[in-house]
Amino acid sequence: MVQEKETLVIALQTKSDKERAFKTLVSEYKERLYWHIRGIVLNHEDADDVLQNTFVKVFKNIDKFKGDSKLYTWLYRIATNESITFINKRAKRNHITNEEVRELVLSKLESDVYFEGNAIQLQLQKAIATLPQKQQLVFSMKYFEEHTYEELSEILETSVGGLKSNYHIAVKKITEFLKTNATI
Amino acid sequence: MENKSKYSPKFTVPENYFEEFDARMMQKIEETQLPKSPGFTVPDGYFDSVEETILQNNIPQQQNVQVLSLHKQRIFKIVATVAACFAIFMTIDFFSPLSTSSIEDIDTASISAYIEDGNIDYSTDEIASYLKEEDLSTLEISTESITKENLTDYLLNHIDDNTFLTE
Repeated sequence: MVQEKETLVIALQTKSDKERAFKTLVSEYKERLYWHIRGIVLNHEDADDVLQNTFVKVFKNIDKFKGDSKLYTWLYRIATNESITFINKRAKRNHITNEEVRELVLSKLESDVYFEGNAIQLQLQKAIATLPQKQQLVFSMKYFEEHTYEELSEILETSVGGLKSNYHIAVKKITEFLKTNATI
Repeated sequence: MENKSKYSPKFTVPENYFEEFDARMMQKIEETQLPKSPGFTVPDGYFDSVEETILQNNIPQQQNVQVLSLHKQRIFKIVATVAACFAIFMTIDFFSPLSTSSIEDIDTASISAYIEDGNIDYSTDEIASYLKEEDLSTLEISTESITKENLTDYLLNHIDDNTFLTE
């Protein structure tokens, strides 16, 4: 598997193989990166924009990838940065804070045709929105995307101990929010 | 205390492990009660279409690239250049009063400014070669602004040959 990834990187950095290798890369990572991005920006149209921006950046910068980190770690970092940049830009454009951007998207989530969650799932999203950005990332990536702490440590450049602590605090806050904002 | 050593003869646990175990266990149970999916969906066939879009946006499509004939481009450039030169020539000929002027009509100050602006790429030696002997002898060099102190400073800072200093 590691060997395969290394071959893919070499092909991506070789002019004659780049297009073919890029097709393989998109095919392999589009869904994983989409759900990661969607967890941050929440809305499908926004996630679609950010996913495309992410792959544009990957295509343009693949020659700069030195292999110091794993390929998927590098891809997740770009996707995370693109998502956060997207929210920051929207906040700046509308003269509001990042938290207000998320609240705005959340307020429309119930009527979103691409959200089929029930009342508890909606409450869970509201609970996640109350967390600081780092804890939101750690919770979503650990709980929904099922990354290991070791993977998260590489992607978010944080120690495993720090991530465990972030995750436990996040779970605690979320369960408390759900208890005090019970829907039933 | 006797029992503790009986059940854990060699192993140890982190500090406060058993005191904190209940709380962590309760949190784990609560965590399992959270919805396992965020509830997001995507339009039908989205992942196939987005792959196509991404590839189209990044990889230039060969069939869409318009090939321009180099031969035709060259002919166009030649024709355009000739037309432009003709237009410029006509404009100068009909409207410019300079068309009848000679080098004598240009004042010295303008020539000096032109040279000082660096428009002529001649070295001082090359310029000197165009001057006659009497021109060189009549060249005036103002020495009023050069004081003895300035001259000494200049020599100390710019002349490496120590023989000047010892002499």
